[in-house]
Amino acid sequence: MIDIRDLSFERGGRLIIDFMSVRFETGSVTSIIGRSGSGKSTLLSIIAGAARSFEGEVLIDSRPVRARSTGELHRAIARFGGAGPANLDEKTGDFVLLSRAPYRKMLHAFGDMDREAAQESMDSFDLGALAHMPLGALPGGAFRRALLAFAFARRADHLLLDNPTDGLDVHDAALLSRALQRYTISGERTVLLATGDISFAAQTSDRILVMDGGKIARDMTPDGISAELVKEYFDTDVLVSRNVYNGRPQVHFYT
Amino acid sequence: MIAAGSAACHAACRTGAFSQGADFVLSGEVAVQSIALIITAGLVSAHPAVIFAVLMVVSIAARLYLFHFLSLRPRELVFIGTMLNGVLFLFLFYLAAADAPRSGHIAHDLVLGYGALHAGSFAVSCLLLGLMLATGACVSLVRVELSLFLQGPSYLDLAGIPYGRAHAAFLAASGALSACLFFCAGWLAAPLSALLRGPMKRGALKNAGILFACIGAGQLLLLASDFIDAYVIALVAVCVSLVRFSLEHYRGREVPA
Repeated sequence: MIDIRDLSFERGGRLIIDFMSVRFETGSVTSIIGRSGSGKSTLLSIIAGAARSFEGEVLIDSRPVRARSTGELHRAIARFGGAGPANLDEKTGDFVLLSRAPYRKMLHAFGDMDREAAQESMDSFDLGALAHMPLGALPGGAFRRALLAFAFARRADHLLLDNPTDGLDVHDAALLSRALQRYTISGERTVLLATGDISFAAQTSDRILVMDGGKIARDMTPDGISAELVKEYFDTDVLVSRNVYNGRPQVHFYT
Repeated sequence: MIAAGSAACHAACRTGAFSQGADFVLSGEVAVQSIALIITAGLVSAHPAVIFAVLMVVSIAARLYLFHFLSLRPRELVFIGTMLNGVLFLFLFYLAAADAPRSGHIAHDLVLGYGALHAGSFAVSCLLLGLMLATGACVSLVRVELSLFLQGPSYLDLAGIPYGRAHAAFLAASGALSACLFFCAGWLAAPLSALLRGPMKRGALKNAGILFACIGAGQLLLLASDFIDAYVIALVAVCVSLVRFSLEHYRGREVPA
């Protein structure tokens, strides 16, 4: 469980997160939607422990994020959307395996469990055949999937995904959706998505938060997504239909 | 001694020391070391131990300056490297024109390695070779940490290691290897570093195979140097480095700014 109490965060004299309190229950998939600059990614950075100069309290499984060591944080939280890999000569399989580093003792090799987790994650994102290919040689979509596989391979209790559908085609997005279902099937893991892809959020999440000006403007189920809501918070006219398979909302542009 | 240089080259390449877009010829490190060698041998002392110590200090300082303080990107690095190689060329041209003492030996000292020519006793060679092989073995121990380091600060953080200190330590270690490489095999080793790609192949057998191939190639180059002029070898080294850099960065990939 992630518990945020009276959180405020300022950067460059601008208030990015404005006195926010929210709780994310274990076993749920929550999407945070909102326009660019609304504070979604910053919120994920704070939860991941990457930004520590905030006011208020962020508790991960009842322990303050500031009180946790770096290793402890990395074991508890996996994050997608940070800095990309610099060494593109690394083979894709080896890169995904590096995600397991927080579980490994220094100067020790990776164990069977690490390899199994990495392999499972690679398979989830259809990367098995590309394991021996250098990251730099992967097509754009496969490269994004490799980054997603890196985050999932950690098997952390809390998974934070920042704009996970950017650069993914329909096939890749479907793989991500299935991977999310598998990841949370045990009911012991929490997933947070910060995304501008409202349709994907509605299809995959149990709960939707709308952020606006550093605050949570709406807290609802996916059924709460409507054309009026999108007009109000994204200033865009859209048509919202229902997915004939699962009845969840889908957003369509007029143009 | 050439074998020790080849082993140093192999260890340095396994750490990814030369995979930042340019090897040690294009980055100008070998030019800086060459100038330091000429000045030290001409003005301070020609004793191999002194030369080795100076090369070590200069190489580490050059690496720290270029990669830590200036944080040069590959394209800038090649530009600076070309300038440094140009300075070396002018320096050599001036020495030859002025008919400076020992100027006839300088080309051989630089190309074949000062250590190979002046400290090449069997015991010293064996010691250095053993040291370089042990260094290569140590690289295997820190393989994962090194992979995380090469991916960037947020990745190294996964192992709980502060990036700033690790970066300085890495540059110092790779600088020391670069000095050993130059001392033992000089510019002759440059084609080797250009031929060896990428850090850390998985598997001890594969690494051992590459190491022996590297040592073999070093011996072949040494044999070739008997028939080819020293300046031609240096020119070949520069060409091989340039070709490798071009193949890596211009074939469908942009050179990072």
